[in-house]
Amino acid sequence: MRQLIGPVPRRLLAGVATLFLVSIIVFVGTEILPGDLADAILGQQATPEAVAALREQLGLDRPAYQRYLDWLGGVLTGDLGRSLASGREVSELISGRLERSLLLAAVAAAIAIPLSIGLGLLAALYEDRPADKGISIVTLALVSAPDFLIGYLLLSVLAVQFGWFPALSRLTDTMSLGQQLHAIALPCLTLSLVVTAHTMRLTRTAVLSVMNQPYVEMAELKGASRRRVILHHALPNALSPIISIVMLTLAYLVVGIVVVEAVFNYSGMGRLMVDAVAKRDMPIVQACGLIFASIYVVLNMLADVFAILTNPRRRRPK
Amino acid sequence: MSGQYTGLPLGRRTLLKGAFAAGLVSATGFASARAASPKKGGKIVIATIGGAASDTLDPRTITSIGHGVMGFTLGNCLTEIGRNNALVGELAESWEHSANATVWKFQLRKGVTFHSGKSMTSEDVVYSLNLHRGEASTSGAKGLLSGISDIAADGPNAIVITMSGPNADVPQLLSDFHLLIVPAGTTDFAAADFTGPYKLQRFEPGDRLHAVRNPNYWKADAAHVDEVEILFVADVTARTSGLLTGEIHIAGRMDPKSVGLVNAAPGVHVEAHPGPGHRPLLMACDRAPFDNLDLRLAVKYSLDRVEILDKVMAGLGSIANDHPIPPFDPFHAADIPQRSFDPDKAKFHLKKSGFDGVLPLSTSNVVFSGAETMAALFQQSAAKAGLKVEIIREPSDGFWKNVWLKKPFVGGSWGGRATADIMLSTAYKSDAPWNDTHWKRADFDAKLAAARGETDFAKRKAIYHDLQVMIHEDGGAAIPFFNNNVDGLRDTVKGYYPSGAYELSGMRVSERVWLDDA
Repeated sequence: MRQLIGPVPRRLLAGVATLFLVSIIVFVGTEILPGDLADAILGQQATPEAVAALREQLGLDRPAYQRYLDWLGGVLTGDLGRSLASGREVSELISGRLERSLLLAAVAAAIAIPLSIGLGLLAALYEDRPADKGISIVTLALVSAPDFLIGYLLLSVLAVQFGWFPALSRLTDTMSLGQQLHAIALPCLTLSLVVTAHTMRLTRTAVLSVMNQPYVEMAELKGASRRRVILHHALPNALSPIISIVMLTLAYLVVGIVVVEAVFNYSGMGRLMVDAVAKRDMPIVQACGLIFASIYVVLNMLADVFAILTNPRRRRPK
Repeated sequence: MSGQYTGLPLGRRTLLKGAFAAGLVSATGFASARAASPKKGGKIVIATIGGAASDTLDPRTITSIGHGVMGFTLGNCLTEIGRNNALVGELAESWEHSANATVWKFQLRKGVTFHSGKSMTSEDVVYSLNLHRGEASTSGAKGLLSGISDIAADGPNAIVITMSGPNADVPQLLSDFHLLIVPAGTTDFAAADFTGPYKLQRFEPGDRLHAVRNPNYWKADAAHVDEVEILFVADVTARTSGLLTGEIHIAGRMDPKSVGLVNAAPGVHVEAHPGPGHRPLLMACDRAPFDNLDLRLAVKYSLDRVEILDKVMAGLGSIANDHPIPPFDPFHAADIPQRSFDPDKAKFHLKKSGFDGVLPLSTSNVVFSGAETMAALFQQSAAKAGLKVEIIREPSDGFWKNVWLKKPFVGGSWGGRATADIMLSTAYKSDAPWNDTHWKRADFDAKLAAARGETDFAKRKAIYHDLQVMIHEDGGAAIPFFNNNVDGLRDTVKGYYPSGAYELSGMRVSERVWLDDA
């Protein structure tokens, strides 16, 4: 265990550096987009004078590096700043939406991760037999279909044709948990299908790659059953890649909801960020970018730590 | 009164009966005939576009159709575009103007109260209009009101507006959706204290607005439902699905391509009505090759309008005639002979122009979805006339900054403007910053100024007729069609009628419709 103390702070530092870079990239990215908030607010009616007046009002006439440093200073003291467009606290705008996005991701993960790992093991267990072929065909089809297409298909069949679920995923304060789950069923299902396909393929590959190792061959020659070989010999060694896969899946779920939120008009972080980019509302874009990046960095770090913990060779180095 | 432009004989005061006075019969017989009496009650859900998390209820920040729908759900203007596009008084009861149409006096309706219970007076109206004026104003209506030199109260129930020059359009300008009346001194609009049909219950910016009927609403025969919910649904497929499943009663801005499917589905139908939006091919008249009128005419005759309307807009629009005044505008010149696809005439003019090169047409789907298709159709029909066109697909980011107004041959897009005067002054006046055909005619400018100050409707219409003929014959815009506003409705929604330039009954749908199954 002692070896962990070294790498973890190092990883933390790397994570912080990554986030810092992300904040710069996001800022530069929105800077080089043509137009700014003043243009976006005034739209077709913008006269040069009105744009100039508004820029001054919003402080957009100051140099970019100064605006960035002001923002960074705020973040370091725990202040995400105010939305340029509405003057409301960014943290207040984000809080409810982040919860909604996390709810969506959590429900989808609760469905997708057990399902996909189970299917992946099953496919590895029955390699090249009908079960494996069947699972592979279905999941490959799902991998090939873009998530918005799957979303639209579910929408047209389950919402419009059968009317089992609402077409618009709306949450209100007065809903019970059951009603909330019903309201977000379709986006969750869409996400689950997309992610299950990926994760299952990766699990199958990870297990099968271990299966080609000499020690597995040895176990087989000794007469162990295939099931025993996979669950007792191959799986422990495949755990580390599988955990990485799960973490990446979780990250994808949290970050990849932008499209699904648009399809079902679900009011989460994704929509907030898209709105903010369209409006060039920098503080919101920056905050969303940072939050998404933090989730990625933290999940990646956890994956690394778990990989060490689950790998006897890395746990007890010679 | 119905459909009449309210040009007032000098000095006479006219009392305007609004669309809310019973007995205004629809002359054109829209599909949505008036039922015997509107049903009261129920909750209507309207899905619209243009919401963002940064939205506020400050009238100065209205930039989209959805914002306008919110505004008219909560508030009123001084004037209103009603049934058959007739301009009627709203919070203003009547108006009169000086002989030269420079000074306008508006009598305000008495007995109107804000949601907070405060009575509306001239002070509130002056404050509300002044919100959008002045050097520091960032309102979208700033340009619209730029011709006003002064607004003053004239006792508690009248205001006087002084223009910097003769302008017969002042009552029209005041119907603009930004110009909602608020209590004097309002700086924080979160409480949404307006005079309109519904009171704010809850506002979640970018998501939804929920409002309940204002029991003290002054307008008779309006605001039939008990509750209004406005949803911002950016994705057109989500709007359509919600309409089909019944989660939404009225969906704005439907996709023309899905209209057939929606009309075929049970319990829903589409209301498609002429709008003012148009998509010109813009030729820069001040430089080669388009400083040659024959080449401009060759392009105009090469345009297969019917095919473009059919394939680009699924037929949802009206054929245009190379001028920008839409068919429902009182000043639309319907008698100009319709120019149509004529390869022989195009060939003739092309030959006469002496041009034998390739025309580079700059376009992008950022202009409107279908711009590139339209360019391709034009390329094919022009080829039949021997006119060679090369399509240049410009990058979408920065199109309006780097291509529009700069390149010689560009695919453009215009939404509507409040009046014919504003449309022509914005895009065809010689010195207009957005004169995107670079067409400069001093005689046009002089007539345009004369039309603005002319208060006799017939005389004014004659001048606008001449202006449209000038653009049609000599201008640099080849305009194939005006697009329709396309709204989707549940069949249970009654009382809908199109009105003015904008979709969703001129954005005033929430106070005009009722639910049959309430």
